[in-house]
Amino acid sequence: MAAETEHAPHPAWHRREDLKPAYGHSFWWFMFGNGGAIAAVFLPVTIFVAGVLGPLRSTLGINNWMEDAKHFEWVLGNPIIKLFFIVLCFLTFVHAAHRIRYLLFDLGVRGAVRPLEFICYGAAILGTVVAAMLIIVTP
Amino acid sequence: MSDPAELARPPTKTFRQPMASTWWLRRPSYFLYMLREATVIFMAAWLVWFLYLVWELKNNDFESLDGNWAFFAFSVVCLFMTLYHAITFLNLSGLILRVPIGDRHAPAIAVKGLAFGGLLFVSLAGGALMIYLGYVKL
Repeated sequence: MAAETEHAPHPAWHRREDLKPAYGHSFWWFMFGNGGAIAAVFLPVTIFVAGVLGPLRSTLGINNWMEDAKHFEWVLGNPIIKLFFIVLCFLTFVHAAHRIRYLLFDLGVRGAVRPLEFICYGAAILGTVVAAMLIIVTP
Repeated sequence: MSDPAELARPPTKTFRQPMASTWWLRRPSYFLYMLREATVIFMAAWLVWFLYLVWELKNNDFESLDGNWAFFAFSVVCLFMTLYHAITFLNLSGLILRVPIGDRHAPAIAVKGLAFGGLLFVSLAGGALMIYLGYVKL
């Protein structure tokens, strides 16, 4: 009886032949983590100044970089600002794609994992390409 | 059972607890978890609206944001959602980011403090810059 309870030690997970590193998953998780951090730090102030203070300009009397087409064009003409918004769009869209993919799983969409991944990550990449083209050619 | 090859083999059948798709409505903490997951929809949607404004600018249709109450209402909701995302995401930074210092790691509270400090700094400096740019005479 004692001999039966003496189990041999489990092999370490990285030595198991039946387990392979999930490179694809690790890449998207890495992008998800970075996207979440960048969006958490840079998006609130962008939304507050442009989205909340912008429409209240005549009420509060506070100008901002999108107060008229002239300022908006001038600021968006700067290559650093263009790069900032392209990176912000890319990382936020990828972050959103990863979360939506798992949100759907949590909501009971358990099948069609691969097609869902293609749709979510594909939409993020397509959205980034469209955003980059638009931001680069404007003004 | 003591055969290592036998132990290493993954189980062929596993039991899966059936779960209704409305499980997240059972407890407030589950609901808040799903709300956190859904914040990304608002964050991405705000950027899409922003890109639409860039599109308007490109086509010479953009005049001003002043008095755009639909954008204002949408932005208030998105701001709330983005802040919820920021607080819950940066709260985990101390647990996830392991910063090595010699043979030890930086304390979690320090990592978290740096993350929230970064958010505060970017919000103040970035906000001041975005407002300042509106006062530049062109």
